[in-house]
Amino acid sequence: MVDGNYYKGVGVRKIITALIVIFISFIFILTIKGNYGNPTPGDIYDNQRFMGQPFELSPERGRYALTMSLARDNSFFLKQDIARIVTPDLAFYKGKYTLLVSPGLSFLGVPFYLLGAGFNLAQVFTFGMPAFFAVLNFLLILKICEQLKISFRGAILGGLSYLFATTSFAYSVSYYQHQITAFLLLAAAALLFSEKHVLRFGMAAFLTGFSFWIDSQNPIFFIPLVFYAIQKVLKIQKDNAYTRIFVNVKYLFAAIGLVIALGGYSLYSFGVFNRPFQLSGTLTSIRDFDKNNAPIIKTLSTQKDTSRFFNTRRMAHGFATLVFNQDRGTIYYAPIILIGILGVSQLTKKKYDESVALLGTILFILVLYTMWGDPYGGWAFGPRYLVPLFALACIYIGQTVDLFREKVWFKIVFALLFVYGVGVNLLGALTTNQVPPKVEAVALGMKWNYMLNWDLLQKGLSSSFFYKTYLTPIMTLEVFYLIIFVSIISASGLILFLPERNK
Amino acid sequence: MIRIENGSLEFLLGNNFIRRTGEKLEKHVYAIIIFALSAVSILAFLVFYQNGLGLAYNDARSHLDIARRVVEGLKPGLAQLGSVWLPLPHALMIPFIWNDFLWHSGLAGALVSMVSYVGTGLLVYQFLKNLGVGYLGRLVGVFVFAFNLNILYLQSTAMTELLLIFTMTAGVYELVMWHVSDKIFRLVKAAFWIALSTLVRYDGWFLLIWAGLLILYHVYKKKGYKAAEGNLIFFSTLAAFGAVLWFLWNLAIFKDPLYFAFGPYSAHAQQEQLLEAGNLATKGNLWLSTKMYFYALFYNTGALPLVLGAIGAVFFWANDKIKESVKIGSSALMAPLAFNILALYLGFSVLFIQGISGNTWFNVRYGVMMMPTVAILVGYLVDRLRDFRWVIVGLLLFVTFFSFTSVDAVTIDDARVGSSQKNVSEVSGWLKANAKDERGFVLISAASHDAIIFSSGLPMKRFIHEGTGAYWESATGGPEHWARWIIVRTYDDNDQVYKLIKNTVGFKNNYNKVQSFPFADIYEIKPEFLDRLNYEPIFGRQK
Repeated sequence: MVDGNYYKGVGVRKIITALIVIFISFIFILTIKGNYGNPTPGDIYDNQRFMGQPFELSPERGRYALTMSLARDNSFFLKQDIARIVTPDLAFYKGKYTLLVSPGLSFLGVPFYLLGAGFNLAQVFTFGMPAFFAVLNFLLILKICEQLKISFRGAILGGLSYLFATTSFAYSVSYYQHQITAFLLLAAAALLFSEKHVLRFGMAAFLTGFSFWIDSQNPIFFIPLVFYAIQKVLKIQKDNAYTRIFVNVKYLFAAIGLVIALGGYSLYSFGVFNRPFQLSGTLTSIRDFDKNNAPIIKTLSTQKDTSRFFNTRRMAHGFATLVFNQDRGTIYYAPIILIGILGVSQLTKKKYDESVALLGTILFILVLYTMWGDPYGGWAFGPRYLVPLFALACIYIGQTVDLFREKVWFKIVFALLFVYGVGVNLLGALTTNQVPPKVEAVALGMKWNYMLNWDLLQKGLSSSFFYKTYLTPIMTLEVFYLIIFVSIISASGLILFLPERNK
Repeated sequence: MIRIENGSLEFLLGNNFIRRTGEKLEKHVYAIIIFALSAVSILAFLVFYQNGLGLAYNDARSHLDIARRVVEGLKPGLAQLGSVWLPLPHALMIPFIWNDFLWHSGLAGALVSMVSYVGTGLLVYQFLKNLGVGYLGRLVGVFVFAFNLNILYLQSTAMTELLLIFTMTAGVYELVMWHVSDKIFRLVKAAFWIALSTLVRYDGWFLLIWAGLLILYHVYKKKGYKAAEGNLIFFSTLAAFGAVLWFLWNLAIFKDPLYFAFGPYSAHAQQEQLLEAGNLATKGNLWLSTKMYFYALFYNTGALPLVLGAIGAVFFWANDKIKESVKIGSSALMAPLAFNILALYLGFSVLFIQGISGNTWFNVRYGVMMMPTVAILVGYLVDRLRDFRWVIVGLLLFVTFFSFTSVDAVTIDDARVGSSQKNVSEVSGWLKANAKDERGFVLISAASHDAIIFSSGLPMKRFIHEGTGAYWESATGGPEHWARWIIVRTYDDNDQVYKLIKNTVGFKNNYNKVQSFPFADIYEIKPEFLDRLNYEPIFGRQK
């Protein structure tokens, strides 16, 4: 039983968890971006590439294109009709077209695509895949909180904060890789924080390797967890004469998981590119097609150089962008994350190794993306690269909830930040992710943060499949927004403000 | 010993062995640090020597030339140390500069920087040790300093930064130790190092004043005014000795004790030109001065070490266990920060940051002066935040790795693409190709074109410049008797040669402009006047 609150016993907790999962899933069903039908490349190119449409930006177009190619043509390469919708994220290799981004998300999307295609909802089902992983992430946050002796209430509030009060929301209902990356990190952490077992370590190693399929920089984020695993495997004994360091040999076999995942990638890469570790981002890039359908190759100066992906010179600017700036700053899009800082010290005292591993991962993600050439994430809603960071940071939110569970002022502050976060991020989920960074927006005479989404809400421009398909005649988008908003706030408020039973 | 038992690999280490190894490491820690830093230093020099960046700074070539003119040229001697820059860096080069390889490779100057690099690394370690910081914190501090790419670059050049950093850090270290112990010998040592720093750059003069105020305050608080006055005078006698010598030097050589400050080649004169051109935006603007210097700091120290250092500073100054006198003494670590902001505000210094001051860099390397301070504070933070020290260490390693892969050294940009560089290779290449194997002198202003002199590869005695006494006076009065070649920026009166010869009959009638380059034009005497030229140094030993 956790901290004597009113969630009595494991059975009750399971029921509450199931109810919350149903609730979360329902919210995602309402907000998934999409249109009815199985769109053809022509549909996408002609009608669905625009603001508020499911394929408004190149990341979702590119990944969906590969999913479509795999499901429809059984090919890693894109036919010209599909390739056309991918620009400017299109790569060119020996006369064939492929993606400039990692292929993992597209592979995972294939079963969802095929399942959805049977209902004439291939795009909606495929876009539902990140939402599915978001639900799993919620469950993993609960699991990790349990492992770290954080109360059930804290865990749920941390998990709900992650799903709805951060930019995670907007990227759960569109076809982006961030929820998968978050899932891999959370799952690896949960496996390693469990009782030591070679299979769990092997699976964590597999997830680490598989993260490379999703985004080539992902394995870097696992470094703190790898160190955590190593120190867990080492056993040091001291007596008067000797110091003994034991390494259980069987744990060395856990590395097989890593080898399988990276070996798989190597096979894929070799089969497609004749090179075992071809980074898609370094291939020749196609900017567009000319009127004769011939590819226009990006000039050499705009091609990517792997050695310059990360530049420490950009750190101050990147940090300001991801934390403070109006167009992408965390304090504007997900200020509730800052609450987690208050719980760091206590969790570290309570669970030192685990907390240090989590904190290390959080800081590695933050530091790496401050060095990234484009911390804005292109045209995007909020700091999208930080979604996996938010997932881990919400564990600390759970700890903070525990720390101040009896303080009314804390509940009020938490509630205010949560309401603000949900209000902002629901705007992104319901309207568009196509928000320019300030540097571009000023020149274009556009707004550069969620005020753009607010305008779209008032104009009734929604990306929600459910709203567009079933509710347009019944209610305005503002009413739809309010219904979802109030639902999330009410459910979360119930958990936050219900008194503890023992009081 | 390694063995496998019950499915476990077992590493068996004797406690005695561990203890003995620990003791050995502790005993030889200074030797290990010296060896490691020396190896890194030599490796860095070789890298920058091989890629040609070691001499990218125009100033590096000038520093080498100044030292070279002391031992070789038409009028060698100590007077060649001049007044443009303070003399210690050049004086320390003299034992090496006579050798052509050491001169032209830049090693004569880099050696001074390299020794300073190793010395500062040791000081960072020692500073942290005396603050009670454990091994990890000390080593992290040394690492932050030693693996900063800007430090590594500057220590591979003949620039003066590392020597200044070393002497100032040593001065501050001894000053803090004096605050701790009140031993007079510490004060003498502080005075010695601060005196040396005053002979490297004017930053040292600011430290001298700061240190004087700290001594006054410390002794006054403990023993009253009389003792404070006595201690200050005692300290100043040695610490200000270098500065006083500099006034005397200027009086003796240039007949004006303030020649270095207001002379035609002084920084002040340079700043006046910049002010006229509207390029001294920081003058009178404290906010902009602060902003500019903080940008330089960010770029030089790296964002992560700077942020960690700032947190470390908060922990340091908020720690009740550290004596107040130590905290006050340690405030001297901030002297470079205060000095640079003040110098920018008063218009004594100029700093261009790309993106703020147009699309160029200039003097951005000044930000590197805070590097030892940042390193000490980061080391301190690692020690204080024990729970998170491995996270901090991991992040520092992570960021340092990427700083190397992205070659993030703003000082290299400053040297290569900023206003600090001049692509003089065309002019010097011409000289090398056309003048090296011919007889005759080259008339040139060293103040304007020292980089050309250096890069030409010609011996110093082939050049007639401002420091050659009678040769200069004769050649600028009648160049046709002395100069087979003249290098000038035509129509630019800031070029002393052009200013002096532009109206001479000889220059107008006897020379052809043979080449014109962006930084200078080359004039050669017409063939029919070759036989009237002096080819030998006839003035003998000049006073």
